[in-house]
Amino acid sequence: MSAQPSELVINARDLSKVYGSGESRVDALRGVSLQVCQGEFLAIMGASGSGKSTFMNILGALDRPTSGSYELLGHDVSTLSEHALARFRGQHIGFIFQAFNLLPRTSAMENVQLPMMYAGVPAKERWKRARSALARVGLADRERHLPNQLSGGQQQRVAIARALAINPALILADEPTGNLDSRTTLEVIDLFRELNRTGIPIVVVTHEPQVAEHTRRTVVFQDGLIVADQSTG
Amino acid sequence: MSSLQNVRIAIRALGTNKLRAVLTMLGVIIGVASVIALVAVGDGAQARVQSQVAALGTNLLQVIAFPPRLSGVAQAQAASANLTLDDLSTLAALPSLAAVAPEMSRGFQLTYQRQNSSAQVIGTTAAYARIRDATVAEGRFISSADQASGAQVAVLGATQATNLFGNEDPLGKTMQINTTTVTGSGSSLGAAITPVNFRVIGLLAAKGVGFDSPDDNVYVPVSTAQWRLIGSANLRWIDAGAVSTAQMSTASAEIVATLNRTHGIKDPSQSPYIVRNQADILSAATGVTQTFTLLLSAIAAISLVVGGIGIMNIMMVSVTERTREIGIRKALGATRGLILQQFLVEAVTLSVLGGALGIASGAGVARALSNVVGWSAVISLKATALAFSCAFVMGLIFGVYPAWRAARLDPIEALRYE
Repeated sequence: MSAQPSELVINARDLSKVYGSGESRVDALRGVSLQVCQGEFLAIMGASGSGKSTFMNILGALDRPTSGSYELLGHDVSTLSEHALARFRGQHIGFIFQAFNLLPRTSAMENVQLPMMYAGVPAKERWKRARSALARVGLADRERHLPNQLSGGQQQRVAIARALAINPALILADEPTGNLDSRTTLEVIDLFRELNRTGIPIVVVTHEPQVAEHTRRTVVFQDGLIVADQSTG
Repeated sequence: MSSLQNVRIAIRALGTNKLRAVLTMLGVIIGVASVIALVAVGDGAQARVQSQVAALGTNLLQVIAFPPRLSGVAQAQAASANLTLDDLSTLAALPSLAAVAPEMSRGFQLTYQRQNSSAQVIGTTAAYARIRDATVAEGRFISSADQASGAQVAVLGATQATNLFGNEDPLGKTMQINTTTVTGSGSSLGAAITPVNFRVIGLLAAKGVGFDSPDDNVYVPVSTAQWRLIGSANLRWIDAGAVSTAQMSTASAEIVATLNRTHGIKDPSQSPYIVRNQADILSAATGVTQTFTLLLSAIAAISLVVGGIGIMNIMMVSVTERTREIGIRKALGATRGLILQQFLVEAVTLSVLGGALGIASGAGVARALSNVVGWSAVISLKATALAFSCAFVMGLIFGVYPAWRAARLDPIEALRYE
């Protein structure tokens, strides 16, 4: 790792996660450490059940590790209360999901504003930021459209705008192209690369080598451990 | 995230399933509407009773003789248990009383030419008008001369005057009060109707609406009533006007003591004489309407609770249906508190909207009911506020559990929900 400590965005050390106990005990993570620096574009790969989803949930402050420490931007997330975790992810983490996860019957504009509403951003500021985020993903003319009036690629771009608008410290994308055809997949990847050039670190969970090819680092999970970590770009 | 934004979110969420929202609100609407309508009709009944009692006159005491009862059987010492005109003159001498008037009454049929009407004919004296606050609109009330001579003269209540005379001026006209006497005996038992002529000497000003109104009565001298109409010396009761409101309890005590003395009753607990004041009459009358209102309100409250359960039920369904939405909101930074607030606001919006619609329809039902029952319904601010806040609290109480279920959902699980 050549990065300076000040550039470190993610610092996960020896994370483990255990579900259940006794007979039904499942060790989803068995001591995973990972450092991600400012401006990195990282792909996480692995078979299902390899622990990559559990790891993503912890990175996204949706879950807490059973043991180990996880610092995001210097905050120790593993010790935050549930309430603090919710506020933390709302303010610092931009989520992009396979199923887009836009609120139905809610316009693109309002979907983009939602995390800012929870973060307490004033209305005027919210509108401004949402508008520029939608413009940035090329949907300036789709502000008032409802999700069901948009194509899959457009919906995913609204979701990316939603993640962007909070000025996230980290963008976490979980199979972002899993529901898209190959042409829109490329569009979304291009968008990621462009965002990454502005310095936002992006972590993408994927099983598509096509997506991983475009990232600059690939981490492979297997049986709750990182088995490979190579720079590709 | 302000509460106002949550209200907007709630209204939009309800708007996506309007029929369901309306059906859910129906329980609350019916509950609130019945509270409003029933309390309004009950309050109206009470207001009417109060105005009727107030129309009896101020500082009024009513002296009644009841045969004393022993083991539930009326004692046959009737002679001493009656009130007569002698008692009236005895009571007139009491310093605590400003005026006394006798009252005896019976229902009769009245005729004037081809018109007829039935009325309560009240035999009384000149003092009656003063004690009962009766105002003579035209002509004059019964005088002491009428009383002394047993004159066949009558004063009509406002309604009776129109019933019998229509547009004609009744003053000075002669009408008939038809008395009925039992004739014969055994199998040849019959009734003979004897019309007795009365000259109308006065008309009273209208006093109030409703049944048993003084406007329906006809007043004649008590002496005439005794000998020509009713054929008995016994008075129904004596109306006594106390000198002042402060003197009312003194007056009651003096009346009973005086009557006991003149009738030779040594044991006050055996006294047949009872003095009722306006407050007694009022509380007896309002007690009935209050019980009525209370009973109906209880039924209405039950339907309100049922409405609340309906809201809870639909909120539970809604939380399950929107599990994924809750997951998205949580991932995007919504805390438990905000999710709880969102669903609570939705439940309260349902119940408050239902409450508002209920108040509107309750007012309509009250108006319709007042036409049926014949007295005006009084839609009180108190009942409205109470029903509305009940609906609000109901929404809170029955909204808490579904909202709590939503709030404690795990975002990871919720996002996976299909």
